[in-house]
Amino acid sequence: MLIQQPYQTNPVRIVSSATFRLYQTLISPSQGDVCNFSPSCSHFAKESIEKYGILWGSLMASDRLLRCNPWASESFDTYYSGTRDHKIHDPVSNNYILGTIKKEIWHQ
Amino acid sequence: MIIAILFLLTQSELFEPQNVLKFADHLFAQQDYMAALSEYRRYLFLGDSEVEYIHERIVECLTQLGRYNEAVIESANIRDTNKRNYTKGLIYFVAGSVDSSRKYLQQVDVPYEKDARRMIGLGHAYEFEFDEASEYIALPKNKPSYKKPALGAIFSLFPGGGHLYAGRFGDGLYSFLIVSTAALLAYYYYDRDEDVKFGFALGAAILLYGGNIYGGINAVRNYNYYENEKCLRQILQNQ
Repeated sequence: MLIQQPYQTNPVRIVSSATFRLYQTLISPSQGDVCNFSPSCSHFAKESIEKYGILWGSLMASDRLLRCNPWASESFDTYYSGTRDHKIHDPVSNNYILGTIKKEIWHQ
Repeated sequence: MIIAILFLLTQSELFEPQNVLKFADHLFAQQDYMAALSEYRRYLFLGDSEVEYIHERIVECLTQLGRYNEAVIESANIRDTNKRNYTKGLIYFVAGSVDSSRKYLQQVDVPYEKDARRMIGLGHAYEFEFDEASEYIALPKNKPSYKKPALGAIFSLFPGGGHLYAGRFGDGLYSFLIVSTAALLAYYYYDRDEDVKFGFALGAAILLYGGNIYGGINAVRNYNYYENEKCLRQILQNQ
């Protein structure tokens, strides 16, 4: 079980959060809505670092960046948990390799 | 207002327990569980026969409404122990609490035993415990074919290899291109003695390479989950 550190006291998280916010405010709008996924890669990276720390979060974010490619929807059913906002739904929690995957079938 | 009240008072059949019960059953059949629930409760206030049946229906209404905690509390009013255990097991099963469901269903005897065993089996299947599930329900002949996450990690030492192992060819190719480009860029700056740029490129290459290995394991993990899910879908189709 991960113990969540208070967000404000962790300088790494403050810096990473500020960096992502800067990117989302200044750079991302100029590119338009181009990410294949929901949440978008920058939101995913921010959330994964906040939730799982800098090490796991960075690895998860790098993995996501490598998966955000023109073939992202290949074998869609075997990898992702459905769609949201017409994009591939890929929540952070499903990508933490020490956690459990929860997909749509549990809700049927 | 007064006339309406007087009119209602003259319509005594509206308050006859049997009519209330008939109306509640009608609402239940129409799947209007909220209204049926209040009518069944009204019947409990008016009448005193078929109490066991009414409690069962109230539990069913609460379960259908997703009010599982209330349903469990209400099920304590079912006098028949066997039926009570079965009902509690069913509520927990519907609520997705498989462990609690199993606890009650294992105590169930004839005539609910067959259904209880089926639910225990399905509970195991929902948790992807197919060997345990096979003791209670028939499983499809094709068992899930798993891949090893450790092998995914080893194959990922060559960028994109883990994704290829998990059947994600596009991701594999893309990972190979991006990681090798970052590595080449780092080498390019190193060769030109541009230390700062080399530092950034090397950092990016290491991060992406780490992400590639992580992704290899993650892809295998997702592949295995899909195999389990496929098996579960087949089980549910056969039920």
